[in-house]
Amino acid sequence: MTEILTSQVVSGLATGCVYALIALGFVLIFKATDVVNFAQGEFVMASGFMSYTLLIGFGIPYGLVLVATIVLSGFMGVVLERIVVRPIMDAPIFSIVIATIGASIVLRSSAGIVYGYDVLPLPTIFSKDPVRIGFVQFTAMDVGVIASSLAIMVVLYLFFRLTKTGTAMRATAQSQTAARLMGVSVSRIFSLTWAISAAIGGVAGVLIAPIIYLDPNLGFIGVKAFAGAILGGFGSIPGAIVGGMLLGVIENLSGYFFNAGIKQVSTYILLILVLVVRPAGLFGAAPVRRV
Amino acid sequence: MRWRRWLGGLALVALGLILLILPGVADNYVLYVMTRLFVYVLVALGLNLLTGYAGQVSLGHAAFFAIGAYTAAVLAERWQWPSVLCLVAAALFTALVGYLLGLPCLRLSGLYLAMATLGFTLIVQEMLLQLAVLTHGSEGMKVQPASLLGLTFDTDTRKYYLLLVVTVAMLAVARNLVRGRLGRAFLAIRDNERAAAAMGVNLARYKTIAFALSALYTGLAGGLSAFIVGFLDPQEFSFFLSIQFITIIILGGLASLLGSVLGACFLIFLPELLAGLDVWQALVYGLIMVVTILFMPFGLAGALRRYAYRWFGIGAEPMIPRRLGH
Amino acid sequence: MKWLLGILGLMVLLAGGPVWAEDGITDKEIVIGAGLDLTGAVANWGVNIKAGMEAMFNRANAAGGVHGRKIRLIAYDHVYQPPKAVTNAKRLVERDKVFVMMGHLGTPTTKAVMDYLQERKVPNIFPATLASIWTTSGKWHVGDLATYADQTGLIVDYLVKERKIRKIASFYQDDEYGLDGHLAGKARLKHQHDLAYVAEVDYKRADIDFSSQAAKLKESGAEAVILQAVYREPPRLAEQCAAIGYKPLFIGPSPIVLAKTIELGGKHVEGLMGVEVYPLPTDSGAFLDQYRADMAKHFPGLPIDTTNLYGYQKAAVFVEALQRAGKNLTRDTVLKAIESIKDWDPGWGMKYTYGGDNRRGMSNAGRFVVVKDGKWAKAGDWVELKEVGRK
Repeated sequence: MTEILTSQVVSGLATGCVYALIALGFVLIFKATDVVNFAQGEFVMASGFMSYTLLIGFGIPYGLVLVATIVLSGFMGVVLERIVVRPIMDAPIFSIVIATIGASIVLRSSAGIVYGYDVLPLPTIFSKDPVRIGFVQFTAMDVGVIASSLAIMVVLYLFFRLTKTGTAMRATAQSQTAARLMGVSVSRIFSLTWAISAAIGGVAGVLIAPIIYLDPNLGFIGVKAFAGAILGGFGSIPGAIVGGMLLGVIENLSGYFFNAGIKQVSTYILLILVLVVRPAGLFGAAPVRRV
Repeated sequence: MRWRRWLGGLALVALGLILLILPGVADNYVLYVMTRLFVYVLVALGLNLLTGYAGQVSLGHAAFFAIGAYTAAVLAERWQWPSVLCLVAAALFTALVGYLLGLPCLRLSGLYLAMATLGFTLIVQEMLLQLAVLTHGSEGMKVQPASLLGLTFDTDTRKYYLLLVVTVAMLAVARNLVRGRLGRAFLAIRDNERAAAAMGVNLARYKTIAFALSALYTGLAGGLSAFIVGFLDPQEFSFFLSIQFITIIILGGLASLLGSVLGACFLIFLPELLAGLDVWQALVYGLIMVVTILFMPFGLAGALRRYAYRWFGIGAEPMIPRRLGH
Repeated sequence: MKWLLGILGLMVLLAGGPVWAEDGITDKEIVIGAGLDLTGAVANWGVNIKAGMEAMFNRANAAGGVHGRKIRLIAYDHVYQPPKAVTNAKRLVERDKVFVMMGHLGTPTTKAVMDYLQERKVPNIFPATLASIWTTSGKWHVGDLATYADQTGLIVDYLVKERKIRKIASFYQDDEYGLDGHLAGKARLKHQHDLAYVAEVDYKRADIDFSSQAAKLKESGAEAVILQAVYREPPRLAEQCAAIGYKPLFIGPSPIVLAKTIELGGKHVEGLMGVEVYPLPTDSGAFLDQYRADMAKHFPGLPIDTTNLYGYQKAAVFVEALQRAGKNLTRDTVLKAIESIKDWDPGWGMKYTYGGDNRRGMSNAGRFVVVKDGKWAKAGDWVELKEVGRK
């Protein structure tokens, strides 16, 4: 029993880490620009396809592909921000959200036209063979996904704490006016935020596509990641990470104890319960009223 | 200049005439599309009352729509209730559910409210599968056409007129509501909750009323939709439908009845116009959506009003606050 | 002057041309309609079925059409949504005036339009769903291949009688598709063999992780797991079962018999068994050579795949029926022509038979295949499936 439960938790953590990465992308953009980017899931999908083309189409080695995907995804983020978000930055937030929904439809259908709707397997460097340590059973894949996600999070943390740009980004998130007064180019920070979010989505894509296979509808995983981010408290980076991981584990355990239907809704039931008690999520501060 | 005032009225009369004689000139396909449009207009009116006017974001309207549809269908199939009662019950029951959902949502706002209501959509969808005794679960459920005073609404023409009458009536009701005390209270809550409370608006009461009212419209639309389509399947009522609904009112125009109608037109007509494009359809649809919002960030109704003012001097320059739902 | 000539020409046409009693038929053309999912959840099937049907129709048209009539296919995207499927059906029937509906994709979507088609007397030919409902829906609905339910019956009998396996579990998609086979298997086990599933484990169509399902299956001690799934779940399930050291016999009906299953699963799906209801696209046979040539010619971007072969063989049987119906084509004659097809082999060793009590085709409708050395290989001969209900 414990054996099965622990392996459920480990594989739940692996899926949860990927949710957490996508959730992080949501939160970064939201903190900086107040926009919920509904195309975040499509970043994951698009970068998965990009790395597939580089890997299979051009035969580029895996490490290089990873770097190239991160760069290309970041570029995609900037392009989306420039074309779809920047021109209507002064419009109601709702309109910007709708613009990102439109962008997600465009990305999804473009992928469908280019790659078709058939699923494609993305190769991975991690083995899917079982490993056993004590009574815990898992695959190298699980560990690889968890380790890579954690590594990304640490790098991001250091970036925000130690670099000047990182500090400027945090300052912008707190107050755009104050940041601007201190000589921060807010528009540059916005682009950079979109680039980083998309790049994180890119890593998530490379990590998750070998597990769940590539197809144009892969982006819908963004909805679950969004739920994870809300669970943790939207706007809180540790919240997004914990929320995402928690979600992965809860899904697995409820799937084990109940059925697929309960597994599907367990997250949302928990989410509503948490929100009733803590209206701003587990880690979120009370929402600031912007009058 | 007096002609400006007449222009709007004239356009309305012309539109009314066209709608009345449409079944005489259009084929059944057009009529069916129009009935789908009316259904979506009803949902958009309801959602706009809650989100556009009262400022409460909801991604739970696919669930309200489903509850309305299944309530009407189950009452008709299992207990052979007359269609009118089925529809009334669908609207009232959904309103009750909306009221009850509104209670725990009182403390939530913005994204958290959006997510909680999205969760509601997914939970209701799963319940439709689990309650197979009533809903037939994933097998789907056939619904016989509605009938009223011996008249069966089984042809597309009859369905069209039924929906036309209901939609126009509900549009008039909504117009009276938003122009009255209720509408003013909603707008006050949306713009500034504290100020509204200070002015004596009971926040809890009006927010739950907004939820119930919005659910009522959506539940009625769901019930009507069940009778029109004639087949219900739980997978239809996904979070995706909720996102479509919110897209309608934002593209059309928040806090605008005209916007609800225009947004529904966009969402229903555009895919039909693009239907020959095969796999390119979704791409073109997405592009048009992005371009529309880029050029009309205040929605179709906002743009219409702006140009009506700038070019013809009709109405006033629209003022829409930037931040909603915070 | 020109408009006068135009009107004169029109009058001549109206007076001289034959008056066809039914929509979609002229001397030169047969218009057929399809409601497919081209961008939604099962778009992979929609896009490929459409391509397969078009490849076959292009062949027929290049040869001068059927009795001089070219076939034109009009397809709309219903995104796997019932209300949209109804819109499309009305558009096809009322505006495009199609002769028949063909290859309509999806169980819920086709159920939503079936009454309407029947009311308008438009035949619903070979809907792209193998749900058991099409065997009992009457004259206007003509299913084409062995249903999931019947295939599962075959699987259950095989497991119990030939493999002597008594601990059988079911892994099924929690929707109408998965339940069809799941319930039929349950009924077959109970009534024929006095057994029951040792575990019934479900999943949702978009699920990505099956570790909890794997754990439950392992705990049940099932020696065989029947997969009421599509091709993307079995590889991941097999992988996650292997990860906890559990390797039962996986076996399932036709939707898992795709080259994709092996591409995704690799070594983990070695030994996986399936039922096929038409030959693999890579098999030998004149008909398959012709299919591969047509796909390469008209749709070079699409792979040679079970999904488009599904559309191609539908269209082939339909073209055969049109040939048999002759010059005087009506909806009734084409339905009769389909019923006249008995033991007809397009050239791949499998025979189609229609008509009789139920309208399902292909009496010799299924055979077992197994994944061997990374390829699907035959594991039996064509056998006649018995009809198995869900109850």
